[in-house]
Amino acid sequence: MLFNENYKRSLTAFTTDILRGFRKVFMVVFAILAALPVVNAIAIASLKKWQPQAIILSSNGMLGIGFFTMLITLSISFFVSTSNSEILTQFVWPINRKVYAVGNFLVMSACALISVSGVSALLPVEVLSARILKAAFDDLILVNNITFENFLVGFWISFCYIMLFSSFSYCLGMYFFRHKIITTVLLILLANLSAVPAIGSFYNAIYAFIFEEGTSIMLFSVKVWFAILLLHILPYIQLRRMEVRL
Amino acid sequence: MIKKLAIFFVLGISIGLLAILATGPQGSFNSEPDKVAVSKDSNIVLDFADAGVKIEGWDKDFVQISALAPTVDNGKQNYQGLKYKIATDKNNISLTEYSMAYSTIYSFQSWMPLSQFEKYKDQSRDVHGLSISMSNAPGDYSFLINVPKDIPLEITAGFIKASGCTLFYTKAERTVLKDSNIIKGFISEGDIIEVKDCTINSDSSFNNKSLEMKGNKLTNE
Repeated sequence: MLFNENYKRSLTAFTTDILRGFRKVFMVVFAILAALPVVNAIAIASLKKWQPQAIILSSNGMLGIGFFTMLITLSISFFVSTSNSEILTQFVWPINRKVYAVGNFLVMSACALISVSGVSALLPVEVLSARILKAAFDDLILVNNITFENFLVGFWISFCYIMLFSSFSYCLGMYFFRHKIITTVLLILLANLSAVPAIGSFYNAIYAFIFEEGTSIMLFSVKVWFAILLLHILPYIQLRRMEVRL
Repeated sequence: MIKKLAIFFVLGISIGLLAILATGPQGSFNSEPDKVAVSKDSNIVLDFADAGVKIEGWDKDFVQISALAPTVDNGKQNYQGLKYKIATDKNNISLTEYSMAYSTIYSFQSWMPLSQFEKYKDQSRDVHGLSISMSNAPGDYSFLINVPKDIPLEITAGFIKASGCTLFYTKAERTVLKDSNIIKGFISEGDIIEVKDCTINSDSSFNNKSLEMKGNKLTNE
């Protein structure tokens, strides 16, 4: 069944269609991100002119802001994509629940990859604007903390994080839009239960499982991908129940 | 679609890697820390004039002074940054030739989530976002000083933020003391002092214009 030609064709059509839908979102976000270093440079130049005695520190540029923006954008997008109206527009012949579940995983992976690749491609905008500032102001110090190694490692880690948060939103949305009241009550209850020491410790253990400081990149990757797969399997349970109604 | 994605990925990562070549030489915010051997027999006197200092107690038996502002001069760029010299005489440690010679620092930071990993932690330390300071230093604190936690300290500085230390004397425009042991005969001078979660000997004098206390334990020992 998995290698059935129809299945493959459906999957290709589904993923292509969803990715086309994302094209506008990416264009808008990348345009905003490209403008940020330019606006930042103009702000620094203006401040230096009006307040020459001010000490200005600027960091967390394209890679930091870009990662964070893409994380939020994709998390919101995948949450919204699980709403009833969105799902019904996607469930047209010959899409079935398996194609929808696998397709969403593939689309999410592709979107995360586009996000980190796009942000990387925008790095020259920041470098160029900083270089222009450096040429204009003698007393500007450029401190570089990017190396080939931390860039490539960061690329992978950022990809993992975007996948993790998007998967969480997707899983949450899949349950929330089907059972709004139960999910909301459950979330409030779970949030309040953190005050109970034993449950609070359990939450901390889950948090430390992923976000533990000083962990190795390999171990982090294994944990995150385990969590990502789990966050895609859980919504599939909900999806199976839905098919009866559809 | 897969072909387009692959091209986008290869292009993105290649452009990013090429851009790194233009970011300039690798810079570091901190120079090598100064390490000073101290004796347990007398108080440690830290005279840091007008500089802001963060002081943290530790279990080791020496004092370590790390600069928190850029001090880089790698020969390729004309980095001036923070200029300072530490003079020592037994347990007396003082700051000399302290000056700041720059006004704008633009730092290229790598991916944000890397700070979770010990190896890459330093890349995002101390400077975050675009911030403006009208003072003569980039932020209030220029030095991090690690001291043996059981040897009493006598500190003079512009701003003091101390935690996990034993304190005998402080003088600063603004002082923040946390989780520290304020011993018998302690005297503080200066404008503002905040004391949080400390053990305070009742024979202490706070000669400051403003005093704020929270969660402290008073003792006669």
